[in-house]
Amino acid sequence: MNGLCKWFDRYRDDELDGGRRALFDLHLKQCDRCRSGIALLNNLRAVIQAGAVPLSDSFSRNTARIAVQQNETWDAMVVSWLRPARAWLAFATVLVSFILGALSPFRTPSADYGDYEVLVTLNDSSGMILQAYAEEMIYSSEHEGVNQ
Amino acid sequence: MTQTEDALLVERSLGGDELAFADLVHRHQRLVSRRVYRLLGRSLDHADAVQEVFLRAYNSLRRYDRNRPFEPWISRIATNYCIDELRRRKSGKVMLWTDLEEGEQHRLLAMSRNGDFEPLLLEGIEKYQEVAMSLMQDLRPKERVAFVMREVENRSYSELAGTLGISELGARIRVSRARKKLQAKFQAYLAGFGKLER
Repeated sequence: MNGLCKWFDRYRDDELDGGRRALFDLHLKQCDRCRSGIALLNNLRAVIQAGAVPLSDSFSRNTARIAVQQNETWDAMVVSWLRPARAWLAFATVLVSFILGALSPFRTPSADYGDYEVLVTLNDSSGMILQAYAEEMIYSSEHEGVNQ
Repeated sequence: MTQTEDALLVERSLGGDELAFADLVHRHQRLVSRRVYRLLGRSLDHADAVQEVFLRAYNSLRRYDRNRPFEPWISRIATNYCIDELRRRKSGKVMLWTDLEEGEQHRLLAMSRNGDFEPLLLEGIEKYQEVAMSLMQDLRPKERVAFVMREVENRSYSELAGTLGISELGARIRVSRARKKLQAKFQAYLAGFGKLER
């Protein structure tokens, strides 16, 4: 490998001026690496260009039919719902349902006074029980002292 | 004229005209088929791959600018599809030098020493194409696209940059890297061949 090898890409892209191109042509006669590189690329190009996979005669018709059918299905399923009129109608329906539900007089409240009153009563009654228990303890201790 | 015809066919296709889209497919299927073959290689589902490109195009038809030529647009869709596929596949069957018969090894060896190779005159061209595809397998998807567009299809660097969505300098770097990788891999093949010969 020598300094001229760096011109490989520019030679390949036909971007060297006449003098440099002639120099690189001389270089190719001496440099195995560049010469086999050029040959390889030429041959790869030829081999790949020669390759083709034929498509059936009905390919274009079949593809067009599938494309149109697929588009109709997709349109019916999803895209139609994204169209402004239908989307706004759906949104308005949901919004009205929500408002009506929130303002309904038949709505069952999640916690009302009844529950609150039960809690207060329970609280009071437990307080009374504790008080009665304490009085009982004082009374019994006093009586125990008298007995002794 | 061709551009106008394409634009008219697109217009009619957008209106749901199946025959118009079939015409559009027919006009460009050769280009798409070649691009797909050159990037993905010969495979049993080649027709499915080409069809997928046109289905993607149909779904994006509304975004196509009818003042521009259709060919670069559809070839960009084909290229992007192939890049997705190459990324998805990652690994495939790798054809080795030793998979070739001895006579084919000799002919391929001669091929790297002779620039005047006429593949159409050779028997068993498919075998050579498999080797070529195998050589390209180590290239990254965008390097592969760059190599095929520049070396095989002789496209300009600006067109390449436009298709890949990179700068022209970036396109040059990718082509250069692809060339170097291919040469290195081929040299490795030859080195293996040399050992087998001894």
